[in-house]
Order: sequence, then C-alpha cells, then structure tokens
Amino acid sequence: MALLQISEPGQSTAPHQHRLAAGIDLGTTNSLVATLRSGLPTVLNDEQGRAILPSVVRYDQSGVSIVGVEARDTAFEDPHNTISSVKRLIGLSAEDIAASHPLLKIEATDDTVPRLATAAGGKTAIEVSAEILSSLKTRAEKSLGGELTGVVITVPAYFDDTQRQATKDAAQLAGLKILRLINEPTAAAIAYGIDQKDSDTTIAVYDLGGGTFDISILRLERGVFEVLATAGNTALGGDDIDSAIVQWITGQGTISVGEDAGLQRKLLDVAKKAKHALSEADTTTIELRYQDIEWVGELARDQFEALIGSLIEKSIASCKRALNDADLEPSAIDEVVMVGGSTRVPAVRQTVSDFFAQDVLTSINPDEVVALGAAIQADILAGNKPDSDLLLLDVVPLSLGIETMGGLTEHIISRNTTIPVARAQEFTTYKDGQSAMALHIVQGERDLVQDCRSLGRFELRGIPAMVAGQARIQVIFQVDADGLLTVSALEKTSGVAAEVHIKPSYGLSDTEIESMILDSMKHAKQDVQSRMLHEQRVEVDRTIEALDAAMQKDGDKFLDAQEQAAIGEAKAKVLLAREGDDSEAIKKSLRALEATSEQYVARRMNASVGEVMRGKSINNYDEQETTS
Amino acid sequence: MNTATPDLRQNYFELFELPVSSAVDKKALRTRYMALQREFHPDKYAAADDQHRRMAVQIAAMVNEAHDTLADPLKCAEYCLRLQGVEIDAETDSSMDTAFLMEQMEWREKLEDITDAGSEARAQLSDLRAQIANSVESIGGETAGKLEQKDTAGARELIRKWQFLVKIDREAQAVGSQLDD
Repeated sequence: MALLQISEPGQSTAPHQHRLAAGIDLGTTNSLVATLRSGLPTVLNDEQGRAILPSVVRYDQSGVSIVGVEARDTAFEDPHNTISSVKRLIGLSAEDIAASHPLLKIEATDDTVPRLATAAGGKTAIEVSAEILSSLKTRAEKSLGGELTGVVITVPAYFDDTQRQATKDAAQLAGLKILRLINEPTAAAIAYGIDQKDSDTTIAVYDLGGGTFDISILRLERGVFEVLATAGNTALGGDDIDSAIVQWITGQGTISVGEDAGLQRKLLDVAKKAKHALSEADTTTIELRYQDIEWVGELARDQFEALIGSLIEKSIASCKRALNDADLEPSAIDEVVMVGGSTRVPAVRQTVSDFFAQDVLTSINPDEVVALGAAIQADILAGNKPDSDLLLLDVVPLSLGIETMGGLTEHIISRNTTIPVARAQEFTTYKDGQSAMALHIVQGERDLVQDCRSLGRFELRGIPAMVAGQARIQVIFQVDADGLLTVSALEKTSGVAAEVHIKPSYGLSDTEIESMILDSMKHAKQDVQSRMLHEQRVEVDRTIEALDAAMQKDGDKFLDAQEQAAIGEAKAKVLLAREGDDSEAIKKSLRALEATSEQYVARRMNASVGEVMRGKSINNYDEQETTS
Repeated sequence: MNTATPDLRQNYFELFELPVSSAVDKKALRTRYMALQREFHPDKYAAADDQHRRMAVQIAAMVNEAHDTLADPLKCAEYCLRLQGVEIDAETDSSMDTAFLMEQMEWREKLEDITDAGSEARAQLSDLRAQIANSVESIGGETAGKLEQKDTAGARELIRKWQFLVKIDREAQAVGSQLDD
C-alpha cells in the first residue's frame, strides 16, 4: 500500500481480498501460532494435531535443524546441540549468558552478539528463534494454503529495546513480515474480547508461566488499550511449584537424591504429574520407581497448597507493586485475566481471586490465550477488519536515557510514556572545531549507567567546525509503535544533519542481518534476485494504484500544475523501470517518486487533523483498505 | 531529507482545539486525543508504505507529546507559562518562602519514618499523600489564576513550589513500591 486510497461508499474499486495473517506466541517453553477462521481465532495444529510447539531447537552436523517435540524429547541424546528456552538468551551479552547459563558453550568471536556453539556452527539466539518462527510459518502456510501477508508476534511487556529488536530480527530472518510486536498481556485481554466493552475497563493480566511471572495493569477505553504498569518475577513459575513437591517428597526422609541427574529428572516428572492431578482431585498418590528406589506417598490438596502458599504470595507481592505503580487499589480492577499453564492450579486461582475480590477469567485455554489475541490483532493490522475500533496504545517499558559525566544516567524518555514518542535533547561541543561526539544510550531505571542496560553507542560525525559551546546539536530519540528506538541528529545553527553511527551493544547491525538472510537463502537454494525483483514489482503496483486513486480524489486541491507534472514524471520513470529486470533501479525510481510526492502526503495528513476535530476523516485508511 | 513533516498547528491547545488555560477540560482533551490516535496511530498504517508509516509515527508522537503535556497539570502549567514567554528552568533564582520550606522538611521527615514504621506504614503513607494532593490542588488553582492574569512572576513562584510537591509525592510513591518487597 502506498498513498491513501479512497473510494465512495459502496463503490469499491476492487473486491475485498482476505489477507492471510497470523498471531505468534513465541514463548520461553512453548510457542504457538493462531489465525482467524470464519471470524474466530483458532490455534493452528501441526500435522500430528498438536497445537503446542516446544521452543526447542536441535542442530546436527549437516546444518539441518529439528524444531519442537522431537528436539525436546531427544535432548538427552545430544544436550550440547539442543537449545531450549532461547527466549531467556535473546538480547543478552556473552558475559550475561556465561553468568546465567553456565552450561551453554559460547563461541569466542568479535561479534557483538554471542554465538552458541553447536554441531552446525555458532548460532545466535536470533537465529535459533528464527528456526522456531520458521517452523510456525511453514505450519501456518501449509494449513492456510497460502503465503502469510504478515504476523503479530507477542513479547513480554517488560522486554527492553534490544530484546524487541532481536525478536524482530528473528522474524525477518524467518522471512516473516512483522505487522507489529505486541505485549503478551494485551494480547490476552484482546482474546477475552474485553475490547468489546462499552465502558472504561481496568484489567489485570496475571501470567504465571513455566519459569516466569508477570502482572500487567491495563486500561481500556472505547477500544483503546493502555498499559498502566507492569511488574513481575523472572524466577517464579510452574517449575518452582514442581520443585516444592520434589522437596516435600525428599523431605519424607527415605530418598536421598545427591548428584543423580536421572533421579532428579524422575522426581520432577512425578511432581508435575501430581500437580496436574491435584488440579482436579482432592488427593493423589505419588509413585516413584527408579532403579532400586521404590517410594509411594499420598499428597492431599490442602498439603500441596500449604507447600506452594509462599510461592503464590510472592506473585501477590508483585501484583501489589504493579497496582502501586499504577496508583490503583485492588478494587479498581474490573477484570482479571489468567494466562499461563500454572494458573490451572486451583490455589493460584483462589488466591488471585481473593486478592482482587472477584471471579477471575479462565474460560480460554491459558496456554493459547496469548496467541489467540495476537491472531485477532494480526487480522486487523493486515486490513481484514476495516471497521474495528481496536487500537493499542502501548508504553515504553523501561526508561531510555544517555550517559552523562561521571557515569550517571539522564533519562530522556521515562518509563510508561505512551508510544510512539519523540524527544529532542540539545548538546554542544566542548572543544573548538570539534567535529564529532559520542553518546552512550542506556535503558533502565537506575541512576548509575553501570546498573542500566547498554543499548548502543552513537557517534555523531560531520559537525561543522565552530567555537566550543557554540554548536547546538539536537539529538532526536524516537520510539516507534513496536517500542524500538531510533536516533537522529541535527546541528541547528548550520542546519547540517550529523551522521549517526550506531554500534549496538548486543544486537546485530543491519549488514549482519542482511548477510544472515542471504546465507539462509543460499541454504534454501532460493533465487534471491528473482525474489527481490518480484517484491519490487508488487511494491510498484501498490504504490501507483494508490497514488492514482489519491490524485483523482484531491490532487487538484493539494497540488499545483507544476507539482502534478513532477509527480507524473517521476511516476513515468517508475513504470519504465518496472519493465526492466533491475530491482535496484526499480527501487531507486520508487524512492524518487516517494520523495516527489512527500509534500503531497504531508499536506493531505495535515488537512485531516482539522477534519478529525470536526468528527470526520478524509483519509479514512480503514475504508480504503477494503478496496485494495 | 525529511522536509515534509506535518506541522500540526501552532501549539498543543490549538491541536486539540482547547482554550489556552492550565485548567484543561480533561474530558474534551481525552475525546480529541482518542480521535487523533484513531486516525494517525501507526497501527492504522501497518500495511502502508514506508512514507506513510514514517509520517504516521511522527504525527502520533507529536499527538502523544501534546497530550502528555496537557494531561499532566504541572506540565500543562509550565507549558502555559512558556507560551507567555517565561521558561521555568531558565531562571537561577532559588529563593523560596520559609513556611513552605518548613512544611517540606516536615513531610520529608515523616516519609523517612514511614520507611521504618512496619505494619502501619501503608496507612501513614496514604495520609501523607492525601496531604500532598491537597496542597497540589490548591496550588494548581492559584497558578491557573495567576496565569490568567498574566502574572508570570507569581505563576513562576507557584510552579516552582508545585515541582517540589510533585517530587516528594513521587518519592512517597516509590516508598510505597518498596513496602511490598
């Protein structure tokens, strides 16, 4: 889509074409893909009828990867080449990984992104995530019988810039077009249809997964979601519940575990089984048979609840913190959404229900609810639901700032600011004739730079020579709707734009991503050239079609004859380039057309600000979506 | 390169078509903010080309900035003062009336005590925050009056006090966060 297309009501220029879109829950333990079928969000199963794809990737020497159940179930055969819970590694530095995951082998490289040593060579967390996404993409396209137009991928609300960027990079690597990254709690609320409510609603999303706990407070006002606060505990989840049962078993005194990994595994298995049983039954028999050990015990639900009481209380402490951050009392919450398999435990439901003094929402499968919500949003963003009022207003999860003298952080965009957001900050030179300056961008709430997360270092070059203190360098920090930061700079007295060179701290540069994509294409033996040519031609057709429609509608209103002629000329060049087979030439001509029509687009958008105030819209983008 | 940026009116009040005043009609602000978001939020351009997506991000960012300023009473008062040609940060004068400073010190001491006060801490904290909220409300009303009379010196003094109040309230809120740890 290029310029806004407008058609008179009832006079569609083309029949409505349904675009294939999907929502993906890229989870720590498990991942899912969902789509809208006959208006209903549905999880897509694999050929064996399984909805859940374990987030586990196993590599072999030939470079082939196995993803999912098979990789998980054979992990013990080849633990060093099997990577699980990669979501915990995304956006981390080599030092971070060495500290938190001492068992993983990291390849020594000069890259900013650590590579895990596998039989198929060093793999970044981004590439491993891309394997999972790729597997879900294949599943969705097989199941839907066509290519996906775009996807919505969910991320935890607290994910920082590096982690969001890495997730986006993984999607790009998997050949997926990302319509938007959305926060997991928001997706869950959408799945429950809370957005259909007429009145303003305040929602708590309680997400107790396998290894992490998150609580988010959202406000919904006539279809617009706002994240008010988030809190959580990255070391609290279903695994801890299992461990509590294991401790109870070993605490009975007859079993000593020691260093026996097999026995530990077995104990966790029976603990998990007991946990599941106690969601339904009042009591369960635990039987453990391992080598010469034979142990049978009875665990009653109230005993079990006593074991995990303190764990659940920890989650309630986080709930209190989030409410405090949002400046709300528990009674202000209208709906409580339960997400994550661990919320099946009745004691969890009861404690949360007591805390918020209301029934909690549990009717949707807590493992699937996030993917289902993402599917609904993907359908809207792809343009299949032109009348939808749903709009997500998200916030910056962690403050963004820069390093100042003495290693202190100065916040430029504070936590919970609604995105997109742009903030300008002025800097000056401290030496005569200084032509460059360096900025260190960090994310976090702490005062000391060393306690925050380093996002990257920016070097501004090409500052015109001036006396010290005279240059006025305006640096603009912009966070887009996906929560991603870009930085641009301008010397104001001369109007010279300073070049911004970014060195991401733990992320990949654009060139690295590009070469990875090329590598993966070579691997898949795809014809890169022909694919790019095809994509460019599609882009041309969209742009021209939309431009023509717009010009017909209001070209005379916003453009004089000379400007119209210039656009016509640029358009002719694009059409000429389209006939050839040089994708670069097509791209260049298209950029030229965009530059020529930029003023026109800006004028149309400006005009529509006034129209919106008068309660109507000339640029009804939703409306034109149905006609394309 | 980006020469054609939408200009979105002269100031934030004009953008939302509201009268210039630090006493903002919150309901009208909210309704108009939502209307603009529905039109320009980048999600409405998710399937559009780069040019439109870029512009939508810029417009939505400007709309957010304008809304954040007008929706926050203190920021709004500072903005009104700026429209009258006075920058609050540009002044270096730091004198403040003694009675106000004494009250500030008293509150700060109370806040320190709450940190160690145990089970009654939460009640004491909400008491203190209620007192602060009261002061904020009366200072907000006074400021609006001064701004209306174009008494920039008077408004500036009040806004500086207001900044102190907001700061101590934020600290009180932070203490609240720690109580749950």
